[in-house]
This record gives sequence, structure tokens and C-alpha cells, in this order.
Amino acid sequence: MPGPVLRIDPDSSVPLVRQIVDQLRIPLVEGSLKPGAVLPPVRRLATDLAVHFNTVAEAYRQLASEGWLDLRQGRGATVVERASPAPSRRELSGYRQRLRELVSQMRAQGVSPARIAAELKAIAEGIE
Amino acid sequence: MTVRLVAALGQLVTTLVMLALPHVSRPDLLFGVPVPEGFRSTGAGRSAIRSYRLMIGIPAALSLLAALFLPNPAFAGAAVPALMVLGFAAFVAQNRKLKPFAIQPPQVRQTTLGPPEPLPGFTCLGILPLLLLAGAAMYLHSHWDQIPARYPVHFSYDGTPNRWVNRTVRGVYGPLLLGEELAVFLFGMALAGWYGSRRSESMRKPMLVVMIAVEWMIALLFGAIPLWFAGGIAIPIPALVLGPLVLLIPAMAYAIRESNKPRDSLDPTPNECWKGGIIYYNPNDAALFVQRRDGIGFTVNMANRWSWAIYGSLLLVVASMLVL
Repeated sequence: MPGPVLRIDPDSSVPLVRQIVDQLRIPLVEGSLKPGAVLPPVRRLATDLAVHFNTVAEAYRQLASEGWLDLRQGRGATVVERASPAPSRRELSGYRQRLRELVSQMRAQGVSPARIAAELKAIAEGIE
Repeated sequence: MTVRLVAALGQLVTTLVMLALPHVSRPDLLFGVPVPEGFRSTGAGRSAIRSYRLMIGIPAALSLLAALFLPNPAFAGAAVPALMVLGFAAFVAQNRKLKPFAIQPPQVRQTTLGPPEPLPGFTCLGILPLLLLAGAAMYLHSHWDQIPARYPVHFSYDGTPNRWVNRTVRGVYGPLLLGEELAVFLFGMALAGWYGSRRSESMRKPMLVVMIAVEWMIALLFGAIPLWFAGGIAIPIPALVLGPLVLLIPAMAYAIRESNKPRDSLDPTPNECWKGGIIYYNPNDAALFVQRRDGIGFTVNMANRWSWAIYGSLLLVVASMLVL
């Protein structure tokens, strides 16, 4: 059975490492990648995504520093159990700002507040 | 006259293969340049194909006439490599001409995080040719005393022996060793092609099939000849000539059929990383093998350090051909 899909766009203004980290974090947060799951080796993922090894290796390192992965020599990148951290007031303020930017963008595109609220609710509740 | 006809036939086949080159690549590629749909039928597309045909066709026709009417065997021997170099130059010239019309293939890349894809079961068939050659060597070893002290290994077109070898370790086992080396190289390339290319590449499995079929062809050929010449096992000529092709022809037909199937968008290799539409050099791409732009199958990413291992092995095989 195929696993979660990873999609990157080198023409995007978002750096490749950030794109990989952000997309890998989704199945990690949603729980489709459970503790004990082993991610593809750096070489395999880099080959499939047509990027340099270091790009994938850096993405794995960032996720490991967030506590999602265990990177032990010879064992690959293994998903580990992660305790839910309590975000600081400053972090919460940062998220609120990013949400405001996103919501403004959606409103500017003509998405109604009710639709935005419903979308946010569905996404938030869809994540374990 | 037979020599001239064979030389002319060799030139004709080489010329036809080169003339067919623009038509065997994907429809969204012309001389290694990604082009919009229907570009081949535009003025620029037709002009490039016409120039390419003329660049190859005129020298090839003159060379064919020379092969038939000039009594110089050296010329006949040099004509095929010269035609290949000419074909390469004509391809690169058209590639440069079409570069202004190039479109960038979609650069969005996608993969799944699923479990690793296992090697197809038929891959184990690639081990048998190695054992086959080893078996032939063991047979010759056990029948050493029955091998003639001097025996022919090469024949002219009329069947007269024109090269002889003595019963020495090099003379008897040399072709088997060379065959083993070639088979190991081809099997290694088959595995490298599988592991070093993108999982999304639809030609991955057909290329594995073709490489293993070529390995079988080499093993049958290099195993049968010493058994025939030194071992005294009479092998019918049709079996010797056609036997090795039995696996290769269906494998090639399968690869061509697969390559003609509707496929996903072009491999996300940036245009600027292609030299002449033939050589791929991209240090930012981890792939060792990528979809080639000048025909069917894969080519090596020359920026990948493992590509040097491939070229080193190839050099070793060529050196062995000269020595053995």
C-alpha cells in the first residue's frame, strides 16, 4: 500500500528543505506515520525527488531536532513517540499572525468567513 | 566481394539506426530538446529533421558506394565508427539549433513514503549466466588433455581459419574470463539501474529485463565458443548465432513496447544540465541514472561520483578485451 505522498516544487519561493520538512510533518502530526515507522533512506528519497542528498539529510535532521525522528547510524530515520510540547505565548502569537495572514489571503480571494472557519475546524480536528 | 557486401551491410544498418533516432525518442523530445506538442510538424521541427537526415544521408550514401566499389578493407573498417561520430555531431548540431524552442519540463517532483520497492523476482536470472561461464571453465579444466595443442578461434567469411591459439591458460580461459567480466559488469549495471533511478521511472523494469537478456547473450556466446573451439563440442552454427538472440529479441520488443506506452511528464531534469541533449551533469540531483533524452532507456548523471565507478569498470572491460 503506498504511503503518504511528498510533493516539492523547486520553482517555489519556499526553500526545498522547508518544503520537505513541512510536508513530512503533516503525516507525522496526523498520525499516518506512526512511531516505529522507518522513512526512506536519504539516498532513495533524494533520488526520487531529484534533489541533493544534503537537502533530504538536512530535512531529516530538522525533524529529528523537533523530536519526530531518531537518526541512528545504520537504522535510517525512525519515527519516535513525541511528547506534546506546550507552546509559549510568543510562539502562539506567531501562529496567530501566520493564521491572520492566511485568512486575509483567503478573504481577499473571496472565501467566506464561514467557509474559512469550517476548513480550519476540519483540519484541526482531522489531526490527532 | 563478400567482405565488401558485409561492410556495406554494416554501414547501411548503422545509417538506418541513426536516421531512426529522432523517431524513437518520446514525442515531446526532438534531438534531446523538450518541445511543445506538435512541434515536429512545424517548420522549425521539420527543418531540423531534414538537416539531420542530409547531414547523415549524403556522407552515408557516398561511404556506401565507396565500400562497394573501393577495394580497401581499411576504409570499410573505419566507415562505421566514422558514421557514428558523424551521427553524434549531427544530433548535437540540431540540439543547439532547437534550444531556443525548448520548454522547461514540469519541475514539480512527487514520491511516496511507502516501504522500499523490492527487486523483481526475475532478477535472480542474472546470476545464472555467471554460473554458466564458471561451468564452462570447469568443463574445460576437466577435459584439459583433450584440448588440441593448437586450435582455430577465428574464421574468415569463407570459413577458412585465420587466427589460432595454443593450449595455454590464457588461450583457453581468456574468452571465458572476458565473458565473466562482461556478465558481471552488465549484472552490476542492471542492479545499479534499478537502485540508482527514480521509482517513478516507468522504464526501470524494462531496462532491468534488457540488461539481464544482454548478460545472457554474452554468457551464451562467450561460453559456447571456447566449448566449441577448445572443448570440441560441435554446436550448430545457427544455434550459435541465433541462440544468444533468443532472449534479447523479446526483451528488446518488450522495452520498445513499454517505451511507446503513454507516459507521465518528462523526467524533471533541468534543461541547463543537458549538454548536447546527450550528457547529463547535475550535482544537485542524487539520481545516478535518469531518463535519456536521445532515445530509449537511461543515461548516467555524470555529476554523481558513482558514475566514475561505472566508467572505470567499462575501461577495465575494454582493457581486458585488448589483453585477453
